[in-house]
This record gives sequence, C-alpha cells and structure tokens, in this order.
Amino acid sequence: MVEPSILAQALINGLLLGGIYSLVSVGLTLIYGVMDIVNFAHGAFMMLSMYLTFWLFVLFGVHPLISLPIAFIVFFAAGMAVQRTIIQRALEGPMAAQMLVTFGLLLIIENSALFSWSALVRTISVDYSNLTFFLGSISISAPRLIAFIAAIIASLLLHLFLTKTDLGLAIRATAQNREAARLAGINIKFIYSIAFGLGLGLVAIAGNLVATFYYITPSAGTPFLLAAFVVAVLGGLGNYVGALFGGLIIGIVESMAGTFLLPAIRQLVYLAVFYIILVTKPEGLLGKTFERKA
Amino acid sequence: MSGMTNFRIFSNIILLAVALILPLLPLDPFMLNAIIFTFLYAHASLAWNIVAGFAGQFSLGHMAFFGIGAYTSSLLFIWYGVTPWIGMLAGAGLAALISFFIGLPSLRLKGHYFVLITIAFGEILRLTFLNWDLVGGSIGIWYPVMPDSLYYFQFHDDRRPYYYIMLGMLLVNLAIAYAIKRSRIGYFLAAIRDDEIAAQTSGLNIAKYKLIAFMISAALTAPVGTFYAQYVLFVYPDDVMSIPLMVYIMLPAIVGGLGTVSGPLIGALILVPTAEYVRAYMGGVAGMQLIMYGVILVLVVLIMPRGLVGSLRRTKLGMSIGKYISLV
Repeated sequence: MVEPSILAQALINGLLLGGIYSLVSVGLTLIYGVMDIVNFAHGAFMMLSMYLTFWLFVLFGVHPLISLPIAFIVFFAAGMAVQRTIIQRALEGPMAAQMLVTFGLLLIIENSALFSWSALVRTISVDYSNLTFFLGSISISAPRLIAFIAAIIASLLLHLFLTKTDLGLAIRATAQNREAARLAGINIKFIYSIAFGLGLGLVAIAGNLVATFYYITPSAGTPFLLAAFVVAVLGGLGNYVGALFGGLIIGIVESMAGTFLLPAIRQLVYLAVFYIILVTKPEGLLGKTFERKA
Repeated sequence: MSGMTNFRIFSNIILLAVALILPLLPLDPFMLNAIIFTFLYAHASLAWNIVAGFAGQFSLGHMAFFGIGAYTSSLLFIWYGVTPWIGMLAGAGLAALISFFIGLPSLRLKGHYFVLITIAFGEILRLTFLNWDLVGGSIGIWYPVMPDSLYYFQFHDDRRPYYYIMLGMLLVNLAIAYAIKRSRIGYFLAAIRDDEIAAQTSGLNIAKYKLIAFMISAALTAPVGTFYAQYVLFVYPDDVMSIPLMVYIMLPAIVGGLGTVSGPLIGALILVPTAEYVRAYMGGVAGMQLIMYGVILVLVVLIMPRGLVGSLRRTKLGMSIGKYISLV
C-alpha cells in the first residue's frame, strides 16, 4: 500500500522538476519548429548559463535572481550570433550539416568548459538555499519553488509573445510554412536568428534557475537535454504548448519512477515513454500546431 | 578500362602486403597500439557509415552497439566461460535485435525522430549500466587475465595477434560494405538518401531498407566492442558507450567521406594517429582532444560535407588517382 504523503511528495517534486523541463523543452522545440534543426547543444548552453550565474555570484556578488535577466539577454544575443555565423550556413548545406552541426557545438562547448573550469563540482549558496516550506507533511524547497514559478512565468510570457505580437505571429507563420511566409514579406533569416536567440535565452533562464540548487559541472546540462528530447517528442516535435505540458508530465513520471521503482532506472523510464509515443502517437500527445507544409 | 582495373587490383594487393608485413618490422609498442586503434576506429566508422552515409540516417547511438558488443562477450565469458569469439557473435546478434526494435518505429518517421531516439537510447543505456551493479555498475568489469591463446582471445607476451585479428575484421567489413554498396540494396539506399520522397513514390519500401541498413550497421559495430574489451581488458560505461566514443566512431567517416567505402579508413588513418600523438604529448589537458574533434566536425560538415574522398573524386587530380587506388 502506497503511503498517500509519499505519493503527494513525489508528485510535488516531479511537478517542480517538470517546470524546468518545460522551459528547456520549449526552447528546443521552438528552434526545431521554426528551422527544422535539433539543437544538441541546448543542454550545453544551459550549462554555460549555470556557470555565468555562478561566476557573477562568486566574483561580483550578483544575486542569481538579478543575473536572470542578464543571462537571458547574453544568451539571446549569443544565440542570434551563433545562428548568423554557423547555423544559417548549415541550413543552406546538405543534410549531414543540418543533422550534425549542433552536435559539433555540443562537443566544443562542453569540453571547453571542462578545459577552462575542470570537472570540479560547484554550487551556489544563497540566503534561501536551505529554506523549506511545509504543507502538512509535504516539504517544498524554496529554490525549487522559485525556479518552478519563474519557469512557468517565462513559458507563459513566450506564449503571449508568440500569440499577441507581430514578431511572434511572423515566427509562427515561418514555422507553419516557410515559403508562404517569405512571400508575405517576412525576412526568414531574421526570424531564424530571433527564434534561435529566444530558444537559447529560455534555456539560459532554466540554467540560471537551477544553479541555486543543482550541481554545476561541465556535463550538468546532459540530463536536462535528454529529458527535453523526450518531452519534445511527447508534446509533438515543434509544438511548444505540447512541450509545456510534456515537461510537467515527464517531471512527474521521473519522480514517481525514482520514488516507487529504483532511482537508478529513472532515465530508463524516459526511453519507455519515448518508445510508446513513437509507436502509438508519433505526432505527440496534442497533435501538431506547427504543421510544416513546405 | 580493364587496364585501369588491373592497376587498382595491383595497388590494393600492395597495400594489403604492406599491412601484413608491417608488424614484422621492429615497431615500438606505441606505434603498434596506434595502428591497432586506427583499424579499430576505421572498422567502427565504416559500420556506422552504412546507415549514416549509405542510407542518410544519422544514428547518434552507435556507441551503445559498441558497448553491447563489449559487455555481451565479457559477461558471457565471466559468467559462463564462453569463448569471446562466440560472445562476439552473440553481441552482434543482440545489437541487430535491439537495432530492429529501435529502428522499427523511428525509421518510418522523419530523420529527426531517428536521431533523437538513437542518442537518447545510447545515453540512457550508459546511465543505466553505470547504476546497474549486476553488470559491474560504476566499477566496471575488470576482465580476468588468461594465458595467451586464440580461444581466450588474449595475447600478452606478443601483442601482434591483436593486430592481425583487427586487420582481418576490418578487411571483412570492407568487403561487406563494398558488396552492399554495389548491390541492389546499395542503390536503393542511395536513392532513399538522395530523395526519400522520390524513392517512396517509385514504390520502394523505404522503411524496410533503412531498417536493414541500420541492423547490418549495428551488427558490424558490436564486434569492435568485443575486440576492444579483449584488447583493453577493462569495460566501463563511460569508455564503451559514451558520447565521446560516438564522436570517435563518426568522425573518420565524415572526414574521409560519408557514404564511401574507402573514406572511413582514410579518415581514420589521418585522425587516429594524430589524436594518439596529441594524447601522448598533451595528455594531461582535459577536453583538448574533443574540442579539436568538435571543431573538425563543424568545419568539415560546413565546408567540405562530401569529405576527402567525396570531394577528391570530383576533381581532375582525384580522377587520375582513381586509376590507381579505388576511391569508392
């Protein structure tokens, strides 16, 4: 018989984790939806943002919540630059370039981090790091709750941006039909760089948020990247609303598996979910909102 | 035309003779080791090339098949005393079976789904093995040292048998890759790679042929893992099923020429000795080698996506070299 409080605790833990997964996945799937590129370096950029937050805190005493907008702006700009200089060339190149260029970036970024900062595990300790709330017998850690709330706000802001602004509309139009968007006078290359910048900006926020309660190492982005792959497929590749809900689902599934099965096989559950989705519903749970027609 | 072909046969015989005589020269252990690893990665890269280059389906999970080969033969020997040669075949069979189940749902869909599930499979297998004590977990498998014999697949006093075994495996793999490329399946795969929709509308069962390529590729990758386990006598998830290993597997084919038979070997001949020297002289610097490989990967796919062989074949120089050495 499962203790209800353990179940509730696992549910809460999973939900809080899932919020971060959502934010990481939303960026990944936005990039995919707009330009048909799987960004294997997504987790590596998240790791860089964790280090940015760490160094700003250690060297200049900048509070992680203050470095959050800094991380977003820095990575948004970096994303636009990377898109202009490297990704755009790959998009104009053959299939191999489109499939492998971000994998190359992942290698360069992760190993440059290892080269520069070593594999040493670093953590940030802020005033609320050890603060915990209690809801009955359920404990909720403050940094995780803050991260969850901020992640959900960021995802909702993205939704507002994509649905309510002209630029957002142009991004969605490009995702739906590249050629028609071009004919309607949309500057496709500009939209690509905005989308890549936004994707990195969002994952930078995720990196900034987890930096207060997660181990910071050069490979710290990998588990998030793996989760984001599963979430993106679950929600439908390219569907950012699906990714938002998919992130919460995968967070809960992982937490449940870690609590009631074995912690060691948490990630094996991903593979099971991935597989079931591919076999039964490859277009994702919600179907597609970004239907490519050209 | 037949005159040129005779030249090619002649040059191939010369190359083979050189390869056979090489270990009889007084090589130092470092050199012998570098050549064995060159052949090892050439083999793995050639196997990967069958699905990635011939069929255009970019598996980023081939390190898992390498690992399955290494673990299957090692565990069969340690648990049941089965000779690694049988273990090698068992590993290849298991890799083919697993690739069937991974490829079946994902190869029906767009290429991205296949890439995602293969890399996710590879990383999740690594993490699972790291936490799974039954198969050595985070301690790994320390292979028991046995007397030198072909049955035990261990050679300590004289390491040259390893060289000849790896060379033999590579030659078999080259023959298989060449046969596939020249067969009906090879032409079907090229058609699928170049224009999937056109191949489909002309009535080709594209999912079936992609799946065949993936299974052959996986089955040919696993034996390299078995060889590695016998050669190094230590099996550890971060060595035999990691992302860096995936890079070592794919880079020779990308540099040499995706979709070619000779490309992975030529790529390995350039990359692996260079990497071994870098490791020997700058070994202490963490990440250096992989930064270098990452830069090479990005530059090659952006600037020279056909690789050395693919680009050379189209030039005048390449055509005249092609008379003597087959640039398939």
